Amino acid sequence: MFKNNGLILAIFVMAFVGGIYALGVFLFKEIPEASSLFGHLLGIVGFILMLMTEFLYSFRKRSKHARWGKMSDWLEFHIFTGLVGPFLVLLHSSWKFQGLAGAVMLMTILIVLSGLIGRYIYTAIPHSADGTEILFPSHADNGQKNIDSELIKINGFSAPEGSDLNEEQNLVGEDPYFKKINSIEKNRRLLAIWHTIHIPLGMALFTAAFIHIFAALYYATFSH
Amino acid sequence: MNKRYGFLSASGLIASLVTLAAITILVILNGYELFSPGPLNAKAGPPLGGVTSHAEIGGECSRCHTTPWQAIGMSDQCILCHVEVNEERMDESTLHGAIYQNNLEITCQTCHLEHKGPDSPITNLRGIKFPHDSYGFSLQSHKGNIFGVDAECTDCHEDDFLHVDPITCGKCHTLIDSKFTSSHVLTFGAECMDCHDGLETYGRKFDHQSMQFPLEGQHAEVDCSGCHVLQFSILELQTTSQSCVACHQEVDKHLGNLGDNCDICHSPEDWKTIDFDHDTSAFKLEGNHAVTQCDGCHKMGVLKGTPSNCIDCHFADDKHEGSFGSNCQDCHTSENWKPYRFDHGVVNYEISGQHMEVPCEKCHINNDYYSASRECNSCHAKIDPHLGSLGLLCENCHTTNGWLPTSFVHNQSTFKLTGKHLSISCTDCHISSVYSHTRKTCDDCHSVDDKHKGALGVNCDLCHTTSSWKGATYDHSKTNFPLTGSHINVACQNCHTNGSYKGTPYTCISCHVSDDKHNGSFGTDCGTCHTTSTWTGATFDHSQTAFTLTGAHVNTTCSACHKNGVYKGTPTTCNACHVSDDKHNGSFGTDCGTCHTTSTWTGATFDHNKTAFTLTGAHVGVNCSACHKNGVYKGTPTTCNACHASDDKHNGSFGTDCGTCHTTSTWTGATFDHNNTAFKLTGAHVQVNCNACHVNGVYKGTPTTCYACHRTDDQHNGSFGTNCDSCHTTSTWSGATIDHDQFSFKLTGKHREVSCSGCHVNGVYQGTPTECESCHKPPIEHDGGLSTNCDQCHTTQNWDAD
Repeated sequence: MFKNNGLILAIFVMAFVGGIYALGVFLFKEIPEASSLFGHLLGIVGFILMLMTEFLYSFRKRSKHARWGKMSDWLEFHIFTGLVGPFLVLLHSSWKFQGLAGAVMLMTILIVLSGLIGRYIYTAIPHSADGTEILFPSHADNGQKNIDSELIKINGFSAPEGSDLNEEQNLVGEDPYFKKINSIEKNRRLLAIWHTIHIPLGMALFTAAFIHIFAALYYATFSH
Repeated sequence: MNKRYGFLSASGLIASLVTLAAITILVILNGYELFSPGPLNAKAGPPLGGVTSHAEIGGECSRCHTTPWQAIGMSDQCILCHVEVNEERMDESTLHGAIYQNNLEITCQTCHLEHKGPDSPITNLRGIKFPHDSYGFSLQSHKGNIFGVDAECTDCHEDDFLHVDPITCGKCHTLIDSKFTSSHVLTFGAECMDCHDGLETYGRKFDHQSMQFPLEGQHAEVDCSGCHVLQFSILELQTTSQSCVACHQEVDKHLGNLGDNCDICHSPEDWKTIDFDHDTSAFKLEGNHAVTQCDGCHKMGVLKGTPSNCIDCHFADDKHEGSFGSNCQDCHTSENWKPYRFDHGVVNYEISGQHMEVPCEKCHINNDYYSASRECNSCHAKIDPHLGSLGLLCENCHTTNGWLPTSFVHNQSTFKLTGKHLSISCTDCHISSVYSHTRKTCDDCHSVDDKHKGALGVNCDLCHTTSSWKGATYDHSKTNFPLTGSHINVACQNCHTNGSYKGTPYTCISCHVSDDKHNGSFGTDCGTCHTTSTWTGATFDHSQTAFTLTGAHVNTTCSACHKNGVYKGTPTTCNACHVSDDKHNGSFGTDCGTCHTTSTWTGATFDHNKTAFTLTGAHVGVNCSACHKNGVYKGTPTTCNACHASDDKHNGSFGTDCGTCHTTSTWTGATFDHNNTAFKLTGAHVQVNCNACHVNGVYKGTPTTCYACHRTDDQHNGSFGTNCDSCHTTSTWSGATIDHDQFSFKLTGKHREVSCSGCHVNGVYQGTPTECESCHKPPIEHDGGLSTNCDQCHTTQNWDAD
């Protein structure tokens, strides 16, 4: 239902916020400082969105009890907050990338890019309408014939009639169906590898971000 | 599959820890600069706090930043190095002081921004209230810069906020108008602040017209330096001379002869356009003078001192050849020579009426204008119908409007016309046109009208008016007989018989003899009692007689006293009328008024004080008859016992004069002045009752010796005689004193101190022994050897032997 809506909505919101930002720059003839009211607002809202990006989707995906909404919707939400949040943080930076704040900004950009890559990889993996990953039997798994013909159709191919899944030769490199299965497997493994980069990167990001926030509060906000 | 949360995965946690460790290592190695939002300002300045710029303390965040829980703030850290700023804050005359005092909540970082880069301005005063005006330059005209944006401090203050280099001004203003700016600088110098105050008082808003010397005419086209030569400062510009000659002396064609104020005649428009108000001079231009060219009078360019007499210019025009003097304006105007006019009033001969139409030469014969006569007959003698009989002053009757009608104001003469006199012609009185000295008495004209045939004199106006003969009125009050009462309405002839008025008698009897009911007994002056109003109700003022009416006499009719109409000579004594009323049968005489009043017989009062017996005390309230028996008053005895014989308790032993002791108030409390007797009361005798001495009421002849009363008091048993007062006083028996010196034993020394009884024992005084030993027993030491006369050795002072 919300397929790609997160991206579209994110683009819309970023355009809107960007427009307000540009208007402010035009009117006041200066880029809002990170420590200004507007700058702070951008940073706070952006970081909250980033936190929501980090935790809510993961929480929904792995929680046994909080099964609210479809995963696909949550993914769209994850994408939305994952784009808008960093964008706001980028505006908050006032285009200065010095010190820890600059490093946090850099990591934010990296994780956004990572997220884009991950999204690309993710789409190569079949999922059900509600976002649930569809498990295909591998070429070594002859006992499982858990094939959803409708899903196969969705994925663009169908098993030829009369295909014999037990025929090993058809499963190795020649049969398009099994090529596809292999491709999906590759993508799945790729996604898993991506996860090992994306998550640590995210944790490093948030660790540095919290330290940056603490330092800003200490040196600026609460300073008198 | 292990569905662990990603952020709790091993890789995630490791990543967090690694990040934390990396940051920590970086902080340890590089300090807290990792948290810096930007490089510090590296602009070098004087060394403060051991550094010359903020960049040198990069990484030492605590040099500026304080912890949130510290009481001090960043500003406190600033002034640790910038000590001078701390001092300036309290001084409003300084930059920081002015800012601080006008922005009390301000901190250093409000204006001074850091972490903006090494070359970024460290100061930003936007939004700060800075009283720029009080520093001699208002920003009113510099709110925006030439780029159309709000002006920044650094637009003018490139390096120094306390001063502005004029070159900075030129940078912008040259861009605005380079030509003007360069000429302006050449004209007024390069010190912009000498004139410009930001309010453009002497800048764009400078209006020369508001100055003391408004630029008019060609002055407005002159360049500033044309007048303000080499003057740049405001003071110099303000003190530029405003006099004309300060600039135009060289072109003065009058060579200074007309003074320094060219503007009196000339205007800034043009030299040739002369606008001189001749009225400001002593010679006002009127008539033809006003249209005459200046050089028509002012020859050879001479303006000041030009003669102003007519003859000075019009000598050639004088047809009178100077005979009328040099003041042509007396007759002529500046409009034209003709018509000329002469104010005859200046010579006290006003021209009026027909005289105004007469040519001058008609009167001024042979051009004699100065000595022509003012008399009427000098011109009109020939036509005087009065032939001079009325004198030379024709104007008394005639006017210059014409001979007729004449107008003689008779009231100006001594005979004022009134009544019918007003309507008669002059000749009716002034016979033969003789007007002068005409008679003025009535009979001069009206003798034929006198019905009184002159009997009332010649002054008819005493009774008659000029309006009519009838209704003559005579003011009788002017005579000796003013008309009053009934006399007013009596016809004149009733008194003035036979038409005779003068000498008519005015006594009452002369008219009223027949009315005299008193038959002349009251004399001829009826007015004494009667009025002219009526005979009845005559009043007579009895107080003018010897018998003034008082009391009951007032209301008594006259006839009650004046019998048979006899008034004069009526007796005035009481008994003449009241003999029948005399209850005293004449015993008091005939003057009842002695006791009685005219009001009533009762309540008679008699002033006993006038008699030999003045009534006092109880006598006052006693009825007369109590003393005056049988109505006998005169000769009544005045002695006390004549009335009080029965009251005499002394049975006549004190005589008949009770008043010696008693008063008329009461018998009791009689007082007797014993001092009038041979025995004056003193001491205790005063308080003693009379009968204590005067026994049985016997007062006279009472013995006065002491013994007569005090025999029983004599303690001396008569041995001292009967004159107790030899020793005693009347005050008390005790304290008797006696002059011992009269005796053979004189008291001396201590004998004086001894009481009588000390020697006189048992009250024996006479015959008391006088020897010493009779009182003084000699001591044993004197036994058998010394005399009994102690005074041979001793004195009465003491026993010490001599």
